[in-house]
Amino acid sequence: MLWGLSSGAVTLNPWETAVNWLSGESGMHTHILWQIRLPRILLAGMVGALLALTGSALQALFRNPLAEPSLLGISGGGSMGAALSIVLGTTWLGATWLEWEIWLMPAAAFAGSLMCTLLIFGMARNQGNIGVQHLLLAGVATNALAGAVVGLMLVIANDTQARSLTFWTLGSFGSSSWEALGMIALFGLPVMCFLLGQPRRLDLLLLGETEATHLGLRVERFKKTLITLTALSVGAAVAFTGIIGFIGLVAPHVVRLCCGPGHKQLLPLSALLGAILAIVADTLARTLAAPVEIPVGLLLALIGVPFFLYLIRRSQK
Amino acid sequence: MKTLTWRLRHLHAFGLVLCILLWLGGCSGQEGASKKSAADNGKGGPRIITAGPVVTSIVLHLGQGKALVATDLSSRNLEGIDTTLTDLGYYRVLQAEGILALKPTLVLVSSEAGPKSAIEQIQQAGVRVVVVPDPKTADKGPEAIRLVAQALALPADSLLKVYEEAVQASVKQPASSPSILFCYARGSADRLFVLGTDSPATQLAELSGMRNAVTFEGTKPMGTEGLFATQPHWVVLPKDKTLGLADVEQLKKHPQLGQLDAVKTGRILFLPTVALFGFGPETPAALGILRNAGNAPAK
Repeated sequence: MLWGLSSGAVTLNPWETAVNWLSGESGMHTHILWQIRLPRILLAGMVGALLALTGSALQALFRNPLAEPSLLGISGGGSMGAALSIVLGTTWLGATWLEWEIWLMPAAAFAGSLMCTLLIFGMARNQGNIGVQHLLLAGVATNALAGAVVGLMLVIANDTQARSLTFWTLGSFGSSSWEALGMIALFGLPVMCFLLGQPRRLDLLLLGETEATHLGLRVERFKKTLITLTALSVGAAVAFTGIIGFIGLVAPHVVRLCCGPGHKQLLPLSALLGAILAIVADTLARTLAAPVEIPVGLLLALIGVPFFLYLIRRSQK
Repeated sequence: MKTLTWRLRHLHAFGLVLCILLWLGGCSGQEGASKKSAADNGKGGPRIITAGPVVTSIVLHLGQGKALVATDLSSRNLEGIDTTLTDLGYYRVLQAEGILALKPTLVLVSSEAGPKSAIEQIQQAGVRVVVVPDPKTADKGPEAIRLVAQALALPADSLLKVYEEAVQASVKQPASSPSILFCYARGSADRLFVLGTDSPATQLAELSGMRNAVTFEGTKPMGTEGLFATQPHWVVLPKDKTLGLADVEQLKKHPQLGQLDAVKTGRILFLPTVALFGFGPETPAALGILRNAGNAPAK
């Protein structure tokens, strides 16, 4: 975090600036530190931790190493909402859209992701129970459908809209502000606290649903709670940052490879690793090509995937 | 024991990767700093940053090209721009801190530039930001020119006079006005997009006594048959050389455009790219080219 605070396009000493700020001085450096860097780093850290936590919980729920929040249609639905709003919003609302874009687009993305999750949820429900296999299949299919809608929007978009949309799907913490941070924290913090308190139940789920029921876990209720909370919190995060893939999948795996599958360590450590990954990738995104910003989703994949592949290869030996 | 050593090794590997990344980040920060100090040397005059091609083109036409320290990606194809200027990337994803690091005295952005939070952050840091409404119709051009000139404290009279004379010059609308196909390539020369009736380009055509060859709105990709069916009198392309479409001989070999009679007979016009997407100081030149073509005897 400190490294993130002290790096950026503007060269400044965070300690000096903080001391100046405490002594009542305000200038461009304090502004950069408090209004630009700090909310951005906190946002990146929180989203990273949230994605990693929900990722670990979903991997336990599905008992599938490939599970991650996007499987519930959150990122697919989010991009569908964003695409519809970018293309149709500018066409129908014109200047009003540009004025309110900062809130309308996240709102549309949030609505899109919730709709997709609801659809998947509905498809997988059978007599009050949720079949994990059906949930997986419905998730894959719904994501494909959302992808098609995004494609359709790309076809009718003009150049500006198409590029905005492409950048959205690559993810960025660039539009962070204290307000955005507050909105994400509103959903994210309670969910993170809740998940961190569930290591025993998640361990039980790993044994299998029948076994977990026999050991006293109300599986169906827990499943529904997990999915609802993930959809709400990650939906809110994705709405502001675009798609930040990969953390939700990889952070839990890296921790599992190093510290074993027990959720007591897995949950806090993956949250920590997720936050670190997000902050490191975002700081690099801001500084490597400054003043141009590299989409953070790209960097995460470029840095993280080779490392992850190396880990998998090593664990096979 | 074995697993423990194995795990520790992984921790080491992860730590090593992190260290390399941190070092890389540190290096790039320093590099940025040294570039900046080089740019700082010399003058204490205005340091202008622009985002949006029309805004940049107005600054250039007002003779302030030398005061520019950075522009966005879309402004880099403008005629007369210093291509060694710092690049801000795509103008919808600007980075507030990157812009502040260049110590601008004035930031001129199109109303389409963003994200809005970045523009606000630049403003809040005490830098003067002027947002210029994107001139998508001919009547909005003078307002944009006036706003930029005001921000630079320069007279806009001569620029405005040329603009208004060119736009107001009456053109006899012939009974069957010649049609123009406005197209440009996105990504690769094979991905052709055609500008529809709501584009600034269509108004350019109308102001020069011609019409758009297509009837749809928006910007759409067109297949070979669709293109063939339009059979325009003229094909208009942006003057931008980056996509390899700015050469008549190459165009004749183009799999889609090469089918059109207009291309086969060389009725191809190249307009300044910025004029196809907005109204500003390049508009008079574009209108001149189109009117000349309209007056030429049909082949």
